[in-house]
Amino acid sequence: MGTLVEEILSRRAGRTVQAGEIVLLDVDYMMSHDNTTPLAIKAFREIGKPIKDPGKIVIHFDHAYPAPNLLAAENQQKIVRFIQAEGITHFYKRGVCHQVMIEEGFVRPGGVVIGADSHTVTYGALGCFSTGLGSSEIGAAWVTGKTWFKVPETIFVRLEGEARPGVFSKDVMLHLAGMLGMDGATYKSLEFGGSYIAHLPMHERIVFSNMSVELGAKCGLIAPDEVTEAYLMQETKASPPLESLEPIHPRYERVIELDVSSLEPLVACHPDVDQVRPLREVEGLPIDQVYIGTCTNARYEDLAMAASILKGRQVHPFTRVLVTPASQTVYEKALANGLIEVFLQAGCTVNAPGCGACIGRHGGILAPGRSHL
Amino acid sequence: MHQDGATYKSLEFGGSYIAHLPMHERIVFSNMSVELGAKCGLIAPDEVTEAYLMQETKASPPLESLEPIHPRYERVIELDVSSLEPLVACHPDVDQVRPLREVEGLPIDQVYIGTCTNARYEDLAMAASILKGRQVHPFTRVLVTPASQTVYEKALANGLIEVFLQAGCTVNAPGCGACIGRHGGILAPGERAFTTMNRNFIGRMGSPEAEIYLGSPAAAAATAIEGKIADPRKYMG
Repeated sequence: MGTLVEEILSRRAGRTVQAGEIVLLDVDYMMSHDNTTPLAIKAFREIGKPIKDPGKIVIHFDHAYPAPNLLAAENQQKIVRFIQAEGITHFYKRGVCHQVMIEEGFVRPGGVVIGADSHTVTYGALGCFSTGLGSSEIGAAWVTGKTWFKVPETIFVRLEGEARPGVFSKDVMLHLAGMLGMDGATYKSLEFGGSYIAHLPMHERIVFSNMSVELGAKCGLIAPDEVTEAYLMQETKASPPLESLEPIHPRYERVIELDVSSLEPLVACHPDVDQVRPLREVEGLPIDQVYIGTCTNARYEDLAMAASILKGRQVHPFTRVLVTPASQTVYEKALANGLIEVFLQAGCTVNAPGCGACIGRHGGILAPGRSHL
Repeated sequence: MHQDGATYKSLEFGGSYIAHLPMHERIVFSNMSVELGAKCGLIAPDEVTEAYLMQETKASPPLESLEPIHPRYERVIELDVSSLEPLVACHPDVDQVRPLREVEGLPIDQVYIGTCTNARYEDLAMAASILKGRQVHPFTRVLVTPASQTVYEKALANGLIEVFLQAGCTVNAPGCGACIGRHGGILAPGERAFTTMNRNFIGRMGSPEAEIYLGSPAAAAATAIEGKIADPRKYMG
């Protein structure tokens, strides 16, 4: 009963729970990466108790891998020793943690996944309650297999209509960011629905869940449907049967209605994600670096769209153009379908899968006064 | 000859081994001559040189002919390469060379196939022939960095990049990569790397407490599979 988040958390709690309640729940998986695992290990050691189930721990090297400096190298060395000592088998060096979590089958409708990374909200697009927690919370959850939440209120975002050519889910999400602001959904569950979402392929749905945290949301959920099922069965290692899930007599704190057919291509301008303007207003602004990557928009279809534009063309000689596939799996598919060749021939630099330039630690650091898209 | 064995000398390489050697292997001699202190490392151009320049580079004809004429050498070194076996330059210097079999089994944290020494197309093809259908060791980072965008494109067209990805390697953008210890594969204290680089002095790839071993692309690929220094011959042909 209730909104999507209430429905998921009620099932997990084994009783009907409502927004505002505190719940203590078993989690399916606890995710962390090279940046956050060291702090989780520290908290875990301070607790001084054994890991409840190493099979629920998933660790990724993606933020600064291969290590760009000595500190990162030492942290990764510590993590590897921990993984070996504790018998943790879910250890990945295959790209951005969130993409790999989905591909490797850790994400399922009705699931509960926590991660030591804010963009853990990404899995909401598949009907999985997922959220980012502090590293020490993750370290504690290793011991208990559980964590607690306050069930969030829900803002339902009803998206109707058909987007014009050249308008993608990224533009729609940026419009919402501009509309709601960076604190517009603090500790809320953003639930996305409507006819636009119903017809949207999974790689575009993921953008809504992924960026919901930019508005402060606790999670960003989309009810699973046949698109979800087909994606999970064809593109990931998730195995059937999959849970059915939908909001039942939901009581929303607020409902936002938007006809996406009115939107044009948008850009979030320096210095905040909610400084959103029509692209035409900033058209012509010189750009020093273009980065096609990250957990938001570096899936196969994103690369295919970029390649369709770059094919047979050359990138600007004084603009660095970096392409970083979200995962090794995405890279392999892009390779098999000729996209990597297109990028190389256009003069792009194709980097190893991972977070890459996004976090300012390696692979495309900006100098003062430089612009980036 | 050691690291100061050719200080400010010109190393000139010749003989029947060189005459039959393809360009990607010849380049290794010139590239590493500076590790012996040499001012330059020369090979007289021949039909292999000409074919390489015409087919693999943008150099345009006519090419100059060139050979030593009545040369007076300071010293002549003679070597029959048929007596050699796979070798490894051990930590911490390029002249700490031992037969690979003597260090076989030494655990390796990072394998790096890259650099100006040994990351040309044929080097990658050799490594890929060993890695094809196999998986790299789960606790060994295996980094492949093609020497150039052109090498990358050729490797891509011929399926090598696919082999590396499927084997679990990390394929990086062309460049010097991990070799210079500035990004893309820094070693932590106590870690040990096996690489196709040309130098292995202390601190080259990160921590001064890390160790670097140098060998061929084939040896690097075999080591990647086993997670410890391995003889490539058991994986070849």
